[in-house]
Amino acid sequence: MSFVNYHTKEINCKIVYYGPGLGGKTTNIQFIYQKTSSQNKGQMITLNTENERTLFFDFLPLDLGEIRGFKTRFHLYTVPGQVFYEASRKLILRGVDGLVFVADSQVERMESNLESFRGLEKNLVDQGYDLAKVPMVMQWNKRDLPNIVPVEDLQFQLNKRKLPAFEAVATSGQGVFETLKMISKSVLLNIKGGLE
Amino acid sequence: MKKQIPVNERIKMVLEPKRSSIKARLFVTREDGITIYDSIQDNTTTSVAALVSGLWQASEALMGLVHEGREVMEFRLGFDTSSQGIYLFPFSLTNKRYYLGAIYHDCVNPGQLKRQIAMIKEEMDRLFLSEPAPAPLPPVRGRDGFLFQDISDAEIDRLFSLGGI
Repeated sequence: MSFVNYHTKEINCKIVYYGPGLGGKTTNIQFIYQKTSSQNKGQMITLNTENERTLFFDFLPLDLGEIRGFKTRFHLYTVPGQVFYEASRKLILRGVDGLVFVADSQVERMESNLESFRGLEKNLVDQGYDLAKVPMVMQWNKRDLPNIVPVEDLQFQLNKRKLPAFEAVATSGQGVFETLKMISKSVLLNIKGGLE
Repeated sequence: MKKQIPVNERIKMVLEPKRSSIKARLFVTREDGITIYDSIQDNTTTSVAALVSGLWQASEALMGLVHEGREVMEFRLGFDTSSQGIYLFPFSLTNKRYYLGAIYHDCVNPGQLKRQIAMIKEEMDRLFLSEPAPAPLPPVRGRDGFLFQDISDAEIDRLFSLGGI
């Protein structure tokens, strides 16, 4: 749940990048980290295996400017994508304010995308979230590779709710900030008023 | 109407007077990885909170594998050698869970330090445990209780440009 401190006029929000293994979740966060000025970002935490696959989570705190007088801070997390880290994914989803689903556009990864998306929906429901109320943005990553699924097919199979969606090449940064800005806006618009 | 003191201010009021007597980095984080208090403010502050949250949740999940139905608020979490380490306690405030923790090094008497942390936790419990959750207050803005009625794309662009992006 987002944390709004009316006393200091601060907003803290948790955004989780979710998706199948090797889909580009960590690459998204790394690009954001590289392009953010040093005074606006905290230390990036990466809990990896020896071969640089995410083991538990990546974490990047982003201190942005003010919006309507509220200082905003986004906590960006990725989940480990590999199938057997389901328990870790459940933990990281706790208290989530917004989700980016990073799908791998390659034809051979479509089944993994679907499996991951079904897992996400199940994990959210298990934790008591109303799927319709959790801000979410879809990202069709790896659009630069050959043998990719047409966007229309990705939309049809993964985006029944017609959520905002962006084509991306996370390695070059294409679509990365567009995705982040959209989920940030959705999350901010979803914050409830009232005092903490 | 009596003005409500924010949670982090109340926690700060308990911890600040103790800073000088405790030779450790002292912090309080919320269950979901939000920093509430940290005696050291630098670019690792938010990372500490995220890691503490993950550490506790992973430990809790591990414990759940062998013993369902345990009372997690009775646990404490330690990762230490004879002179350095991390020590965490959970506590409740207005029905939400927080972690009080210390990171220390070059400590001559870690046992004494842990006792100090435990006493602070007991003080927190005394001050906050019996306190009921505040009644929900009316929303401060419109749009059925949401903080922002609308946000333009230009405002988001400006927010990110202020963030150096």
